[in-house]
Amino acid sequence: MLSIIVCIKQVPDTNRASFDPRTGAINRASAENIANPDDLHAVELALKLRDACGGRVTAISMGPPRAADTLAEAYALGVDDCVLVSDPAFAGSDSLVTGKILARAIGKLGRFDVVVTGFEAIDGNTAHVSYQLSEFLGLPHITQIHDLMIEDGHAVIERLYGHEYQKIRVELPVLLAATRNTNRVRAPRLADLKSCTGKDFTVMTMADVGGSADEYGTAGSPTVVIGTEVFAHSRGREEIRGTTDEKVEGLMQRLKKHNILRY
Amino acid sequence: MATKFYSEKNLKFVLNEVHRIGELFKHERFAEYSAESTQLILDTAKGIANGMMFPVFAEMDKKPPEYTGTTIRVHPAVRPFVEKMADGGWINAVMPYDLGGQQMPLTLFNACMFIFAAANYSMSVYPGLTTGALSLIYLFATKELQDIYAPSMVAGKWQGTMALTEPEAGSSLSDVRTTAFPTDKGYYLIKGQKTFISAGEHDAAENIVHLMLARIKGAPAGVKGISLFIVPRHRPGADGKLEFNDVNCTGCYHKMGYRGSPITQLAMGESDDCRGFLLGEANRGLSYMFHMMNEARINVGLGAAAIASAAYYASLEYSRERLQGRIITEKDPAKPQIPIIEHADVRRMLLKQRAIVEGSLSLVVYAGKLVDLISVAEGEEKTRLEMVLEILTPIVKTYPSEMGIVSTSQAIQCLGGYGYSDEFPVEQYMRDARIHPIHEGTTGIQGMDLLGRKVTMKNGAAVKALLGEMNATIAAAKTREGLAPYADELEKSLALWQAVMGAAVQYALKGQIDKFLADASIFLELTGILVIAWQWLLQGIAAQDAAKESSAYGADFLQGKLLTMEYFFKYELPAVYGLEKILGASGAMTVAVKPVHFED
Repeated sequence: MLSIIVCIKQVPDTNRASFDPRTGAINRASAENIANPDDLHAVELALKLRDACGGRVTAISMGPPRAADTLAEAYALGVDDCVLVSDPAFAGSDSLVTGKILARAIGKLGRFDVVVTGFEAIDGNTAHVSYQLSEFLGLPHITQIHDLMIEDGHAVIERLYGHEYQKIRVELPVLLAATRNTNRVRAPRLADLKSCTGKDFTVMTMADVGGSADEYGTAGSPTVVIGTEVFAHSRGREEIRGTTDEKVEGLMQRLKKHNILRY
Repeated sequence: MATKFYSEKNLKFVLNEVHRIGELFKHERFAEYSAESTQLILDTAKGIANGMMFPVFAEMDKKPPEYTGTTIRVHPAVRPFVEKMADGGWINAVMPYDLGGQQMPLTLFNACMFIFAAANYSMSVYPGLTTGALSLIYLFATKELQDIYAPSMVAGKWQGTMALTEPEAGSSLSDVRTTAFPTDKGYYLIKGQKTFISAGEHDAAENIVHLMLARIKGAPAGVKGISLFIVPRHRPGADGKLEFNDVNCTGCYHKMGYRGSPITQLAMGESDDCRGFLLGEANRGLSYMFHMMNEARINVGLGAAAIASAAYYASLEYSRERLQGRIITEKDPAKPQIPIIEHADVRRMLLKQRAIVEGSLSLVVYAGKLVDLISVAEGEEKTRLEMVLEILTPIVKTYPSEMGIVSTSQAIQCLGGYGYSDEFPVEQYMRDARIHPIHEGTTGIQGMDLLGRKVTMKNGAAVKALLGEMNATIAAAKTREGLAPYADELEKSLALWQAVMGAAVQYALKGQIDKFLADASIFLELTGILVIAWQWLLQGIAAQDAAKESSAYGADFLQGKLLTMEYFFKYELPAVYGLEKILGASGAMTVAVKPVHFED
């Protein structure tokens, strides 16, 4: 029976959000809040693991009270328990402090075998938190997961990256980071969608997590954002002339130049 | 390339502000639903539509079903989609809890079906057909038959169909010839042919379960001799294994649109071994079939509105990006060209589409809410709601279907030559839309249903019930600044409608039924425009109310709503005066025209 923790974050849907052209900041009112896409793949990984090996999946989210909507979505997908880590003192925490808070909260939940996170969030795209969380928890951190099995207290993981394939065996507990390439997220069942919004979840505040206000939020965060810029991407048109062979060669050169073809 | 096929914001507006779906959740039947779960369900439908349906929308058209001689090979994306729908509980979502369903309000279910149909209409029909067949099985089949067929249909393994039409019996179902020969073994032997059967055979399902109309040998002629049977392609044998039931697929039509779903020809009993299992009582098949016909016809209107929605957003996206010409007062050719949406005539075409799409959607959602309210109402209120639904059903089916063709044509017009090519999706939308005035009862049949049955039903009770609803909206709008002129205009048009109806009924009173029904389709067209004007007035009221609060919809959206309402009243509603004139002047002259007059 595995105890599996999955981290899930509520983010503004940046694909639909508008940005302040002066500051480059997201206009949060312009976008709906959604579950971070990579985190849904993390939930799927956790649920598959539970379904294969037995156990319980606990979803944990750090954020303001409205992040409970994302936990309801996790319930609809099939997790067993949900925890909201929320305190005004946590507001403005950078990725390092977020990792610290999540590690302390997970530490209070008791024994666990596997922690699963999304690889990165679409609001900041730092991809820091899973690495920092693994450091705080002292766990091996595995990415690029293609397949996974649990055998004798170990995770046997197939990894695929670029043109390479790797099969590794890691002692539990372990931290796994999922991306959209890891799996295909299930659609929740209507029965679960109907009932998920009324389910209870645990709330952990700073008093439960431990520590003091000066460790958290803006005060405790070493990261300083100096500036933000919005990049405008424009498309160009280019014609390759010559014989068919020359055109193919020209195309290959350009693809290599832009690192689209590497070999 | 087009990426948007419906507006989430508009769908929420219609559900929450115009038709107030939340009122349904106060009833015990729907108490397990909430605003939050509604949102999650809509989001889930969006995810399925974006992930599994829209990406293969064009491909399913370019690689249509292929008849192999025994079965029909459909696009490989169909099977995983149906499995996903089954796994999620969508196939029996609206059925009661005690039958294993989710008792979902049809209002919400139809909103989700709108999303699916806008993403990929052909794909959306596979589970929808099973749902329709399943509802008849639950209503009329014995417990034994339910236990045999329902579980595999709910699981998406077996496809359900409606097998009504025959080569010589389409609109005229009283001429059904497929025959059921009684046996003493608990089943009938079926012999005959069916045609135009949607998903009547395909390789994405393990079995096909036809809900088939047939005439028991010796039954009375006409509609009173038609019975309803379960006729599976494969029947469960004594050992539980499936054995062939002598239902042969003899062909698959090549259609102009809606090409991702196979429309089949079937031959039953070529080896005298096709078994059919009677549902309910003998000779009551057509009345059983009509239990689900209202909802089937609402579905057709829904599908047409959804396709028109997708075409509208494709043309809107193009109109915002395509640079062509300059504003009419700009004479300097050195000035840069402007997006075509800056041209008034293009905006008119976009407004026309929006008026049709959002007016139709509002009507479809309202029809779903009527079904839900009927399921929880009692006594006189239930009867009143049933009357409103009865008279609206031919309009819900026809207005979106007929105007969906006009709307998708306008989408093509916005794209000009590109719209006429298959480089852009709008030509496919127009082809996909064309089936809707035909299937589930043609426009001609709907016109006769409206004027011949619904108008005269229970001494005009349905007309009175509808007028009651429309007049309540008019009264509410008259007290509002900015809406009163539209309320007056609708009131005036309603008086005209009643006069037209009165004149038509005079033919009926004189026993001239042929003249009474000769122009029924035109009467239906006129009624449809009035009903959509009413839906726009409802949306205008809702937009004004939403604008008073700090609304998540945004000022531009709400102002756009009011402007589209204004467009409808100024550009579309006046057509009723022309139609009234036609109906008054025609004297049903088509009755006197003989086939010989079409000589050369």
